[in-house]
Amino acid sequence: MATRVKQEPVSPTSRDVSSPPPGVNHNSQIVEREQRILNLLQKSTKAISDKEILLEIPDLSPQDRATIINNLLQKGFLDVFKQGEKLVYKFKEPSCPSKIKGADNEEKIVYSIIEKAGNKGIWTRDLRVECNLDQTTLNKILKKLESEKVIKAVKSVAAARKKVYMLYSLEPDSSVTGGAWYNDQDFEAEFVDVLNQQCYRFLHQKKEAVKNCKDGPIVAQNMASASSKDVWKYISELGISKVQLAVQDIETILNTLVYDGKAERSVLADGSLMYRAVESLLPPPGIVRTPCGVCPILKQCSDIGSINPNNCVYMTEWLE
Amino acid sequence: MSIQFGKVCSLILREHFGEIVGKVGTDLYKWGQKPLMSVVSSTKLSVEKVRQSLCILVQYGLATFSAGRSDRIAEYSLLPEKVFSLLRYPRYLYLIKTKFGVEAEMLMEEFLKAGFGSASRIIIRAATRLKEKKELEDASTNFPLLRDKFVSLVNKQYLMRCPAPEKTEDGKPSLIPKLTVAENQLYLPPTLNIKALTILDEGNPADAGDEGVYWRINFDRFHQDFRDQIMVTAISRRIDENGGEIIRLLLQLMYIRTEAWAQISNPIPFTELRDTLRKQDPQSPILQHLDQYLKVIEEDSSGFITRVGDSGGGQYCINMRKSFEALAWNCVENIIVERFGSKAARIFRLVKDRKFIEQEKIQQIAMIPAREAKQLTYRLLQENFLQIQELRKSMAQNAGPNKSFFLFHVDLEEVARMVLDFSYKALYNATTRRELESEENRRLIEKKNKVDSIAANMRLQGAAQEQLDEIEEMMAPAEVELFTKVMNRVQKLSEAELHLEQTIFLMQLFLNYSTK
Amino acid sequence: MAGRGRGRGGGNSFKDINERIGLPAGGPAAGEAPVESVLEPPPLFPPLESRPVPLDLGVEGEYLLALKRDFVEYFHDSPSYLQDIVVKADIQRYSDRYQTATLASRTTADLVCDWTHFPKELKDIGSKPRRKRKLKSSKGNAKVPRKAEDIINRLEELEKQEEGSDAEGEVETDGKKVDNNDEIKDADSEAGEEVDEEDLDEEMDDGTDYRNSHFDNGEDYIDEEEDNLDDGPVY
Repeated sequence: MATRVKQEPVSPTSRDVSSPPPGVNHNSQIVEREQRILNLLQKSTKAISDKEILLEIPDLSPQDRATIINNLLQKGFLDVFKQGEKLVYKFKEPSCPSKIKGADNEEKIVYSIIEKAGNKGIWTRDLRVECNLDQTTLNKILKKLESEKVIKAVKSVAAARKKVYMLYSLEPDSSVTGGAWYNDQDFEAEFVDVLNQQCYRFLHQKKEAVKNCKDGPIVAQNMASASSKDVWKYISELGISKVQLAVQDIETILNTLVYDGKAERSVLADGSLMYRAVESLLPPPGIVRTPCGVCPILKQCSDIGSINPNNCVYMTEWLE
Repeated sequence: MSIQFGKVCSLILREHFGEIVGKVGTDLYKWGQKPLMSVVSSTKLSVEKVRQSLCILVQYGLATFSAGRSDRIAEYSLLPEKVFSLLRYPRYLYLIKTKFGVEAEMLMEEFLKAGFGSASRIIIRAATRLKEKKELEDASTNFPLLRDKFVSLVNKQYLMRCPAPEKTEDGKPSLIPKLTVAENQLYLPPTLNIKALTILDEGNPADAGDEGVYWRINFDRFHQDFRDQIMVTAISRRIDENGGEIIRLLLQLMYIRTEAWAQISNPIPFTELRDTLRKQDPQSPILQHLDQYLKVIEEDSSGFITRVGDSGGGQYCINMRKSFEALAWNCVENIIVERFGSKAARIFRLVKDRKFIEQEKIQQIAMIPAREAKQLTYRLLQENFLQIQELRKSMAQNAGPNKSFFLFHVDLEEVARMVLDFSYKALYNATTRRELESEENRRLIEKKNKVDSIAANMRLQGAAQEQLDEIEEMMAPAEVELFTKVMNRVQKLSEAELHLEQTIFLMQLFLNYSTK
Repeated sequence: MAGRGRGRGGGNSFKDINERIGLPAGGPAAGEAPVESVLEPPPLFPPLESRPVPLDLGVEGEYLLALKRDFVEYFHDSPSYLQDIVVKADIQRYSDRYQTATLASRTTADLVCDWTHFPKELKDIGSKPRRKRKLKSSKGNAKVPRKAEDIINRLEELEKQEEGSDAEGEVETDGKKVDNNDEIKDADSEAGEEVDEEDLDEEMDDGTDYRNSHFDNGEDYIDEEEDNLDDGPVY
């Protein structure tokens, strides 16, 4: 996208004797109009287009409009975006100029887009679309900003090999890093499993402890239950985690226990979550006690054909 | 009905009644209701053999007949569920033994062996067997006891009257008897003349007072008991023994006020439950915390009971349909754990909980590495434990690959049917393999049995040790070793069959409740 | 709509779904299996990923198994276990057959406790040949070719006497088309049948002299057979 609004050639107009010399008046008019457009920008929550500007100042010439926009752009009061075929303008606070001292408009735009992405960052590709620069130019800018430690690239867990850019000083959001469960792109499956097992151990022990409780089932169940905080405390004290885990992280693990059928969750009146170990309703069913239950080729097994109960290797092995 | 189920039924018939009855039964299963001659022509057996087979099937309640297209031609249909019940005979007997004692067990055994029969005949036979067992001098001492046990079996509805042929106009038996029995007659105990039984036992004719009245087993009643057992055991595991006991009581009370196979019981007031418990066991530790237990059971995710009202200290319903749904879920999950691993089971439970969920979400919440999660999900899908629903993002036809997304969900009924079929297959395989093991080593088994029986006879007659040793030596040690091996294999397969039958029972129950 | 071509909405093949959820084509195996130098067809019985759960039925289970064995044995020995008994020409089998006959002392007919609960057509076990002959003799038709064994004829005579007038009455009153057809069919099928089977059925009836006389010899035969088993058949 052009950083300058193209100026259209001015057609000579006849002078009006009564009006002040066009040059002087024109300039102050432009300054005044710039202010008005700036106000308009400030007022709007979303980007405004040329149409809105014309509504505000109907007799604004395209030339002047271009001048004003460029001025405001220079001063850092707005961003220019492309919406479909037209340009739109959005107000922004002119940010610390020191950061972009000496930078040209292109860099400024790239910077502002990255800044807007906050701590979630923005993909290279999306960045390119927004600022409308070509790849090489963009890469140059990015390299420059990176070397100046203005921005940084972070690998995202959402997609391997893709990077997001964000301001250097920001802490990447957990959706990017994967939070506690990711160590540099790799999902720490073993770590998660260990936590799962430890949480279960904690709950199971609690349950065993109330086995001979004489005070009735509700008391027993309450004593066997633990809040997510309780479990978090236990796990933290175990010291098996290199990273600091939050209560919410532990809740995620506890939820996997529920999905393992090993624990049940209940919600208290105050919204806190309680967990307790539970026993399966049934013992393993008959099918999985025979080879057929774990047989990978059960579908092909029949009376005719080379896979049948009489010559089944798994059966033979199992029967020995 | 499924092919797999048909194969199992054929196998059961063959095992109990031989190849010929098996063929007839299979034919009826395949073709449904048909007359005698049609069976003859499709099985290519002799009329004689088919007649005998049909007699046997009808006698044991495995098939029925009715007037078909023509009034004069009887058409026969197989009762596959009854055929399958042959596998449950040991369980039926064991239940009676534990609930009513050995005399009742004898009676029931005679019924299982006879199909249907008159009270007098069955009692006499049972008495004879008891005499042998207890080595009594005289069988007749058992008659009153047996009669009483018989009556209690009838009162408890384990036995019921057979429908009798309707009286025809000319008093002669009709070609195709129409069998009916009045509702109020079903469980009316027989009137028996004990003295007459003694006379009959000696082989002389007498009128025991129950001419023309026949009894048969009410299998349904047993199935209710099995169902109850499953529920009690489940709650015992989940909560504790006391919880299980409460469920047992609730079920007892359910029978009084609700039809046996209703999906949900009529409400049972807390006060009644408490009073019943007090009457049965005044010292029961449950009494103190009865209300607590009810609350705990009610709040458990299995959903066996629901509290429906507050009068009478609280009104509770047992929800059969929900219970068996929870049990079916549990069974399927347990299968998945063994067959695919615990991570796969986690995925399954997650999909069950969320009803419809995308692949991305699955790996996120289940905390399983993306690749593994996808593989397991795929595997579950392929084996039909998960189902998939496609949602289009755009209405355009032939939209590209990114224009629709897939949601996973579980259709429990479909999965249950699949598991049931899968169980039939495993049962079929186990039985087939067992028969093979026996058949391959038939001579060896026969020889060992003969040797054993000779040795037993000789021991009874007080033979000398040398003679016994001689007999033992008829079998080489290698043969004995092989025999033991074969027997172990056969035993293992039989055990597997027993287990499978129980899983099948559970799944059949669930499907019955869910498709009503 | 043309019949050719794949329409949308036809069952998605797993391949499609695989691609969409990002799995390599061919399912999990393809992405994993290392390319080995020797390519061979996958084994028919691939190694098991997991073992079956051990069986555990306990004491109750043992009892149930014993019960099951008893039941199956009982049924095997009872007349409800039908099988084709093939008669061989040597003497040993002949006596063997009679031994079996003595063991299964009840017939299928005895199994039934009340014929009024059964369709009439099932009642006539073993009696069709007699009925047929009666019918034919009353009509004066040619006899069906039979093995000329005096024993069988003697049996028939005895049975006819036992039957009495009932069977005759049935034949006459029920002489409708359907029954006739049945009987003619029977004649055809039985003519081509193994006559030995019927011999056996008839001989299993109670109270025939022939069978009784053999019964006395039964015990001796058993012992002799035992020895024969060990030494092999004596020719």
